[in-house]
Amino acid sequence: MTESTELLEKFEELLEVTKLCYQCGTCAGGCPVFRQYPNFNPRRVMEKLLMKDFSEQIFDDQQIWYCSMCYTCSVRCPQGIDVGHVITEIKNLAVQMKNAPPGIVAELETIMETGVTAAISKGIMKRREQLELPELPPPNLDEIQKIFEVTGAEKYIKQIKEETS
Amino acid sequence: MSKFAFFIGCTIPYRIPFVETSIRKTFPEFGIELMDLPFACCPDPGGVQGFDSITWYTLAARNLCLAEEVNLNIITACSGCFETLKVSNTKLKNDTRLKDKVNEHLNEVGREFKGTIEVKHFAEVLYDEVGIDKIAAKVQKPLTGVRLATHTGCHFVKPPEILQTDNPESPHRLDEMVEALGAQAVPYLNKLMCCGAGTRGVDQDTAIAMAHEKIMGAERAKADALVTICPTCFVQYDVGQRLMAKQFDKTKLPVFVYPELLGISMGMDFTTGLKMHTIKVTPILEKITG
Ligand code: SF4
Ligand code: SF4
Repeated sequence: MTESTELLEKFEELLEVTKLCYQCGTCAGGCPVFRQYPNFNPRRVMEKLLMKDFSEQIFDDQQIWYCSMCYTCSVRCPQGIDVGHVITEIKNLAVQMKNAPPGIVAELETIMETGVTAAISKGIMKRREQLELPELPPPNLDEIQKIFEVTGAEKYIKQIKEETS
Repeated sequence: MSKFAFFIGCTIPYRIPFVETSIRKTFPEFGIELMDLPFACCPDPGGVQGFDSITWYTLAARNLCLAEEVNLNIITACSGCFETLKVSNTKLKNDTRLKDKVNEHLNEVGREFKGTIEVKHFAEVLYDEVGIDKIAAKVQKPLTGVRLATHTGCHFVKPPEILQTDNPESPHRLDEMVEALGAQAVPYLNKLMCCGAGTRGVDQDTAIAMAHEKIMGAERAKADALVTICPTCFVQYDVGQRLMAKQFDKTKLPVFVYPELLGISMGMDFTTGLKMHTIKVTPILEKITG
């Protein structure tokens, strides 16, 4: 299967799930991001999918990444749609179409290079000492990097960085 | 004595290590032994899952494999890690297609997900395995008169069909857990509101405005402090208040992670760690020690 037919299949799956949405807006009503930043609206995301309108707010800009993954929408949708999951799927597709915010790409790179998300500074190591905390067994970085390679994540990171540089 | 593989995550050891102290000191008092393993990032249920789900499952499964090898259930210190590991563990156990795909990738690093262990959150272990009565029995310095706004957070309860810990729309376990320490869990506006950390990667100001709503709710309810069971929520609320001061009026609401309050009420001295909080906790400590 080529990459683009795989993408198309994913699209179809997403559209199938979305069909149940009757645009009641319950998802937006409970969305903690929408309250602060009305440009991000899960009901609108669903509407775009229903209308097969992929022009904005779906794949080609960074609005979709405002979702904080709290799943309030998924718990409350009267049609039982796992809206949060739909949004995750959209993010995955956006990445394959070379779109992701720099903050997210940087996080992925940090994990690939160090195995953890946080920067391990001298200051923090000093705090650990003051607190008499034990040394933590280090993760096997070869394994982490290999996984990034075989799943394609390393390639996506590279592609997005090339696209935005 | 029950023994667990201790999944400490990234935020606690490398950002707020004083929380690690409180867990390492309190849990053995309840007969819980914690074993460190060379775990990597869980990885983050927001950023990494959003970037590429298969990478997320595979990295999570690699961590699960480490615990499977020593035949121990995992206890997580962070709700984000809990969601990642429990969702992955459950889905991989039940979805053969997904498991085969993930194992194909894991094979490249000489590992295989088998599905032989369970994943638990520390609050779940305290509530279910230790129990409210045993927690209450250990209290030497009850938090009498302390009004607490409890923040259960999202990743401990949602998605509920998989996590099965508490009612996502009306969580009560953390309330019972703080009441076991003698404190009062106060009702407040926006109790269910997400801390906003998941939005940090794209827009810091919006993320901080989300956290600010919670602080306002707790302040209006005249809470003495806010208590969480997730280090990421803690960072949003504690360190976050300094960032909030740039957009909003300054607030000084002390924030704790539950094991800190647990240890304090058990008579433990956490002075060194408590000094590392961004928002001073001295007013509430004075209230406890009198
Ligand atoms: S809550 Fe469900 S049905 Fe209502 S608009 Fe959102 S996705 Fe559609
Ligand atoms: S999961 Fe995302 S879209 Fe749904 S309520 Fe939470 S922030 Fe909003």
